[in-house]
Amino acid sequence: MAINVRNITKSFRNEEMERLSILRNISFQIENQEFVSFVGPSGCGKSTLLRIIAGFLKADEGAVEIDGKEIEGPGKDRLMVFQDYVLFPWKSVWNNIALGLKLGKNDKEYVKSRVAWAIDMVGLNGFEKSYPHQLSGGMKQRVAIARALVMEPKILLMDEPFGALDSFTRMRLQDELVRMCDKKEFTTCLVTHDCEEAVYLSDRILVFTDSPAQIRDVVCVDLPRPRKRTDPRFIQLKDEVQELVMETWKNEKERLS
Amino acid sequence: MKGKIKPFLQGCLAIAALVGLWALASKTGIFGKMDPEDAELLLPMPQVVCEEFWELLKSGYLLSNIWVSMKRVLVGFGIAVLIGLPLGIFMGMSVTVRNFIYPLVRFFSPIPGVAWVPLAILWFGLGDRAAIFIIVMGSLSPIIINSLQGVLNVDRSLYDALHMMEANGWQVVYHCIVPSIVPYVISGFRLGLGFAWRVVIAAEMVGVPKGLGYVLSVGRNTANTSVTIITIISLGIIMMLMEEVLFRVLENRTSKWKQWE
Ligand SMILES: Nc1ncnc2c1ncn2[C@@H]1O[C@H](COP(=O)(O)OP(=O)(O)O)[C@@H](O)[C@H]1O
Ligand SMILES: [Mg+2]
Repeated sequence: MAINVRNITKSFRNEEMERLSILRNISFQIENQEFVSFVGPSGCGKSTLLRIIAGFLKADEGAVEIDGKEIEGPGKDRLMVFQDYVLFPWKSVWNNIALGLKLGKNDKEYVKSRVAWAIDMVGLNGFEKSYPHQLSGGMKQRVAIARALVMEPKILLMDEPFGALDSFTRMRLQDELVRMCDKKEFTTCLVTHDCEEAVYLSDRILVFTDSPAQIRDVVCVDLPRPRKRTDPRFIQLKDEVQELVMETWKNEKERLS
Repeated sequence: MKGKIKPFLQGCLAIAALVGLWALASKTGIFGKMDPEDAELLLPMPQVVCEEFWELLKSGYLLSNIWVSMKRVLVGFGIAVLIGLPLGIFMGMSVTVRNFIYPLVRFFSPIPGVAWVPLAILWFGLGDRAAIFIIVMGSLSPIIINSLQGVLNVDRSLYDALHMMEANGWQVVYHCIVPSIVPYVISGFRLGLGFAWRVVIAAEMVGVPKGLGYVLSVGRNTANTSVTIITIISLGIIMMLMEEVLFRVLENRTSKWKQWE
């Protein structure tokens, strides 16, 4: 599904009850089945923006439209994969993944076959009966991804999903994500602080300025998948994105001095 | 298993030491403070108490009174749980409900359950219903407060996860709130049950007929110290057994996933 973010403005109140402007008049479109990453200095408001798209937060002004329809709250067409997994500790892997389908009062046999498919998809076979505390970070995130994919979302929202993982696990999960997205079943928004990850996965990268966040630039990644991290063009794009983020950070420094 | 035997033996040793001290105190007239003959009355020898214990058990007098108190506690505590658990959960979920009820809970919780005895006897007469009312009043607030604390401490992001999957209110309660609050609820139940026993004993001592507290007051009126000591020992044993039966089971059931903390 296509996402249309229209003139989103958001501010929070700090402890002294002053208004802190976090997002200022942000607009962009994401096409159906496109993979778009948000990068920018930390604390600039990327998570806030993603949470607004998810429907967890309401914008002060502006709207988010999915295929032309304004969203009113969270919904199972847009599922989020959180950095800290947010699994249910008292549910086994199988039950964590099945939860969304069970809530929707689906037929038992259907749930079983969908969950089996999702477990297969993320390679968690044999761990169905394990509990989250028994799993490594990478496996927990696989559970969280399976929990989303099992419901066949139209949009997958990911907030630094691999940020807490070691680099090998991260690369493996990135490869698996490429494979899943290759089936062209959903649109993906990914928040990341890892420019290589952004270039490896995205069709387009939105680079945000420091808060109040605005779109500093958009980088299109015109490389065929699967991409090679050592490809000169890949490295060039990665450097470009990195440079842009550093630049907004530099501007911030100048403003302070 | 091996790791459990040592603490058990150490516990037994402490009890044996206490009984030894008791025998000594009884024999020497509370360490020479009084005539051993009078001491016999104030603190009878352990074996005398034991014999009396056996007599009371055989006659069925002790057990029937334990049963009376136990029934009151279980019914009263059960009612307190049925009221307090849902109320605590609703208070945790809705700020409005919390604003309405919390001042009442704050007001009533420091009032000891026994303070209700005169009213209870007036309203319900001298019997089980008065005792049950007092127990409910005495054990309700820890149950409410702990359930409420549990709900307030639920990991907020789990709500996000459920909302994005379009769970309704009941599903949020069932899949998230109830399992999250189990540890809090268990400690609330522990406190509540402890209060229930204290309250029922006190109520039976000051007026409500029958039950263990009544046995205590009869012991006092007839200057029968053995009976008093026997009642105290019975109470200790009952509380320990209830603890083992009710809460061990609950805690073992949740320990499977609780290691994550
Ligand atoms: N609920 C909130 N209340 C107040 N301030 C918030 C809240 N959520 C986020 N912020 C602030 O908004 C800013 C942007 O946060 P966030 O969107 O998490 O940044 P990012 O994900 O880009 O690192 C931060 O300064 C953060 O402190
Ligand atoms: Mg963030």
